Amino acid sequence: MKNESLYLYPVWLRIWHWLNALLFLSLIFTGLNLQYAKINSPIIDFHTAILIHNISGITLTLNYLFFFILNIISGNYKHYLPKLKNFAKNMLLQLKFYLSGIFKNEEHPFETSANQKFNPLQQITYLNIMYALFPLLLITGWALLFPEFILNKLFETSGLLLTAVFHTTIGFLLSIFMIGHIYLATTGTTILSNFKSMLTGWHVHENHIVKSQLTEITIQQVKNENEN
Amino acid sequence: MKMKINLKPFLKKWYGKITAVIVGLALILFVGMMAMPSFFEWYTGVKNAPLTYNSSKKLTDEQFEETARKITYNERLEKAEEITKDEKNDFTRSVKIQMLMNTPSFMRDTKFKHIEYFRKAGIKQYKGPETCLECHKTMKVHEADGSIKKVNTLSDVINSVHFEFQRMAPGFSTYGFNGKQVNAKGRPIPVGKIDRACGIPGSFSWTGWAVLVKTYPNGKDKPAVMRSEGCGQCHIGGSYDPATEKMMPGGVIPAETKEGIDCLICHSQNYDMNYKYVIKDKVGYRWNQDRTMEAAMSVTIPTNKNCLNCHQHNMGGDVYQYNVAAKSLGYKNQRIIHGGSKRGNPFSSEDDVHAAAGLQCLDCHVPEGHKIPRGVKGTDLVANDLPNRKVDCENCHTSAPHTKNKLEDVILNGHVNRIACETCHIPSLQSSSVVLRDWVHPTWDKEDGMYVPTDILRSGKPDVGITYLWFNGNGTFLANAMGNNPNHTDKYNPLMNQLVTLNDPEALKEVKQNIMSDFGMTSQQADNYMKTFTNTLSQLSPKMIEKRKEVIKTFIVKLENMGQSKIYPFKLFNAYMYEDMSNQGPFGAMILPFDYPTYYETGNSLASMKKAIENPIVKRMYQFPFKEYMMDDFMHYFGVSTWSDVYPIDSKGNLRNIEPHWMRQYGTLMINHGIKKDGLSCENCHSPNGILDFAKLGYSPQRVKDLTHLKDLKYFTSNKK
Amino acid sequence: MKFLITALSLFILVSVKPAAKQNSLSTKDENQNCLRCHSMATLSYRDTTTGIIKSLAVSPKEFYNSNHKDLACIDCHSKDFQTFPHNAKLKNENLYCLNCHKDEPKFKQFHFQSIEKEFKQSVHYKKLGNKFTCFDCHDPHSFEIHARVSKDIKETVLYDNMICLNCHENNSKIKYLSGVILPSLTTSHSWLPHMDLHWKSVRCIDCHTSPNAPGVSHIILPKDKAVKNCVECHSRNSLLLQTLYKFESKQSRNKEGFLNAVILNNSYVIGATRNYYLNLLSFIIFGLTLIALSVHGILRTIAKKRKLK
Repeated sequence: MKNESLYLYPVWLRIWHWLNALLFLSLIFTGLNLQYAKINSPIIDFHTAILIHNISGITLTLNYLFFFILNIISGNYKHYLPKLKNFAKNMLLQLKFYLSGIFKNEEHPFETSANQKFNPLQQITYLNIMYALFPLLLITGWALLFPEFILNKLFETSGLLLTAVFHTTIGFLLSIFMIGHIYLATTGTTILSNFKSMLTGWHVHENHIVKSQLTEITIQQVKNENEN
Repeated sequence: MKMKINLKPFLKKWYGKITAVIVGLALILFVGMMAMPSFFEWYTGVKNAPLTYNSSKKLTDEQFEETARKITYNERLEKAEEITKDEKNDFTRSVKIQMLMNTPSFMRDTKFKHIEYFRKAGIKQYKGPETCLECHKTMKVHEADGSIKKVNTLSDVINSVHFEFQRMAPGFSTYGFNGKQVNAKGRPIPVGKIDRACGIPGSFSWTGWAVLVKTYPNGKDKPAVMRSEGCGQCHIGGSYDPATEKMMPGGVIPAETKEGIDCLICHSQNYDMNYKYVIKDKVGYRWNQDRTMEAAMSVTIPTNKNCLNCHQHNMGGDVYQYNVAAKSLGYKNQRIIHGGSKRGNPFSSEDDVHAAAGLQCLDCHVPEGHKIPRGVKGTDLVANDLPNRKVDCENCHTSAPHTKNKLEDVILNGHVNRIACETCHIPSLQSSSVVLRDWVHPTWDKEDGMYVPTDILRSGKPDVGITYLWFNGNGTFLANAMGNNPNHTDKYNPLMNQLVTLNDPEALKEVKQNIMSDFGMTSQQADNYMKTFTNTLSQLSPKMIEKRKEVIKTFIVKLENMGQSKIYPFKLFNAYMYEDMSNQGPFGAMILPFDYPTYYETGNSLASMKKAIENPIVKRMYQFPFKEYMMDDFMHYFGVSTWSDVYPIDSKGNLRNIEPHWMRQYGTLMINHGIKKDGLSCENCHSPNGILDFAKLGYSPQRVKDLTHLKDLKYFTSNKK
Repeated sequence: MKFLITALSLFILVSVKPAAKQNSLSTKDENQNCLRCHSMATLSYRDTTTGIIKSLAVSPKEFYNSNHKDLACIDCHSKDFQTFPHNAKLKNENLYCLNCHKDEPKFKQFHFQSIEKEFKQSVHYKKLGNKFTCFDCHDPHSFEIHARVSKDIKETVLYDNMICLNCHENNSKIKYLSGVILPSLTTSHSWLPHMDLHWKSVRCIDCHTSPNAPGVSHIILPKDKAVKNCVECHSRNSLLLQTLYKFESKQSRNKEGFLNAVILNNSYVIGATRNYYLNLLSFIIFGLTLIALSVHGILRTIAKKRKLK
């Protein structure tokens, strides 16, 4: 058994990731307080909640732009693009692993490597989150910051209300994603190893000697495609 | 050491090429700018030269102090008399007055602050704008929103209507017969006193700027007396031609012209109008000015006296008995007095309640720098320096102006929503107000010894010289008030009714007598001639009349229904002039100007007109690119599809396509001065023969009956026995 | 005889109906005699003591859209006004809303007597006493209950707020009534975030009245008692939903059915997204996620332990 270390997460990515996490937590907390505001709330004052939510939201936007630009410059964006060949098959493979293989102590079907940081399931999820839901969340958030620009009426309904519902829903979905994300982060070599690597940038994993035949072939395929 | 510069490699580079192009363009622009004034002069026949004025003389210290004492004399005397009014002994009093008047503090304490300024700065000669600009290079302008802006004084003056003759900007309350607001959208064209002659002066700024006329008041065999005439007497530029350079793209006002600006006519309390006469020098004719030190030392902000130096001419008229400026006609070449007045509504303490109350023009016309508002309403094509600044009665008088709190006043206040203040409070105009002016048939004025246009009708009476129309603040391109009865009826149509007829029987009788005696016409001839202005549409072919109705229906009705209309009084006017029939539309044709000397001296109206249109600039109007640049658009507003470039004089020098005509509808001029404290009373309008023709104003027959028979309405106490 | 009775009853039938019609027509006709002068928009005079312009104008357009549109002028005003010039004594005519609105059973639902009591507790009455009357807010010649006829809640808000702004944006009027000049509304409301938006969506009275009233509350509170706490509106038990928007959502519930009304509620306040069904749904999803992850985690731990063995 030999240990292998890969430098997968550059400094900018780690900074973005943890700032993002921090802001997200703050937004969820204040957002929940705004959503379920109560007179004389014992947890946090309504005004303060708005203030923190606004500041966090604006910072989150900047942070997102930072991510967006550097993701392109560094070429990191490639990891978000799913390989179309055998895509459904690969995804099922990963899903199968999470739903049964993991309990049988099977090997992760897609080993993390410098060429492929994300497994197919992660790819499709992250792509949607980072390039669809996230921007929508930010746009609706900014719209609520400047409500005078929102359409007055849409389908006979208050545009403001629709925007707000939209914002809340996306926020909720992203929160759910975050819970799943944190949980899945514990499925590394040890419970904490993935957290550590996100802090240090180095991905450490045991190299299992036995690999399932199928997995071997798939990895080879992916690698070949990458090289082409 | 010899430096050798090789540009070739540099020019081969891409940046070298760009630099070369930029330098080239800059050079062309520079040369163009330098050549523009000469080009303009060549193209338009306008002349420019350094201007000198004999009245600008350097004073000695003694003369300066003597002048200072002279112009402050009345002020000091009044004050000294006030202080010594309790002194019983006359001689003692006169001694005291003498002493007081000559104390240094009395001398210093005057409204003429510039005496002290000039004394300190050592200014002993007034050289025109340059003297003013020594201190007033910039000035602070209070804008409508309360902010203060620093501007260049000279350019502030030059861009004001008092100097300019044309505007290439929006801000006109005038709408063309094509339904478009003048210069509001698209490429603006220069409009103003440069496009077209007007029926009152019979000429326009280019053809009638400054002329000397030979007159024979003592008989034709006696030596001629020279008189001055032209638009320049009232416009503050002092050059040989109107300063119209800026009508062309890239045009700049030449420095000489700027030096000709007459600052003092508006600012000096001792401006002597006797200096306003035409002088001839080796370059040409121009208007003289008062540039004496006495005038310069008495500058203040403009008072009524200053404004009325010129504006009484078009308000009260030259023959108005309280027109002060018309009493100082010139030390020589005296200005010609115009018999008929343009508006006939004077602003003077004798005839206007506001003037009598000591109000100053600028109290209502609150200026922003040298831009003076004329109000948001207007029927005529005159540029407006501050098109959004209101000059309304309501500004001071509120919407409830009648305040005696008697029953009648409540009802009168009720009328304010429909009837303009002027309608009742200008019950009549000066009788010199000219309604019908025939330029084609001049008459010999024995007194002045010259031929003058014949005013076949002058009247300031309601329904003769004044008409009453709905007015929403806008006018047509030919100065007709626009508006409609708030019931938005289709019965109200002044362009087919009120403004195309004249039917006051008494006035017509007078007119007929006038023309039979003035023109030596028989009764039959007179009747035929009169048809042309008692029904101006008779001058149009049936086809043209149909077109006219069509244009009114498609474009004008919509405009008349805009905004809130009230009934306003308008001074009616029409003129018989030569027209260029190649450029005729359903609302009239291009009016042609007259050359003043030819007209006044010979009485040959046709020759006079021909002389005027031989002016290079009129010729240019019929050529490329003037036609495309300006005249085509101008004609669209006029209701004519395109400007015909058939010049009314053919290659052999014969006139062509010219006919004398009255305007196809009477012009309507807004009247706002000559306000009387006591207006008309109820019966003046609310009686069967009242001055308002309610039916023509678009009321239903039932309503007309109510309005003309108020007392018959059932709730009047007097009817309930 | 039978024929006669039939003929007579026919005659009555025929003649009664037009007579009723004629009656309403003549009301309008009779009004027209008054409106001949009083429809002049500037029919007014300057009060000799204060200098304020007092309008005597009635806009026919507004009047015939108002709640009182079916009334003749002389139903409220003295019949002596039918002659002109009007008798000087008529100047002192004193009209009071409850003269009509008190006893008639059809007005019962509008709680006029309660309104009278509420008004007596309002800051307007307490400070100005009899100087302040119903008419200062409700012009009987143009007043309409806007919320009943308007489709757009913002229009209602604007209409209702104009009632207040008529005086509160006009210093001379306030000074005339109270002798003081109040600070401008933008100054006194500068603490309010998104002031303009609030003014477009919230009526003055939503914050400035005590909500404990059966109809629209007439207890206008002094400024220190007005709602200034954001959470009072932006919370589950939103004050707003109790007043203006209560009416609105009740109406839309009737119109569009309960579910639609709740989902498509036209009104929006921060916090209004807390739609019951959406909330429930979010709780369920959240709960299921937690359960699934816990089960997954437990199974994983067991598997790992098994492997180590």
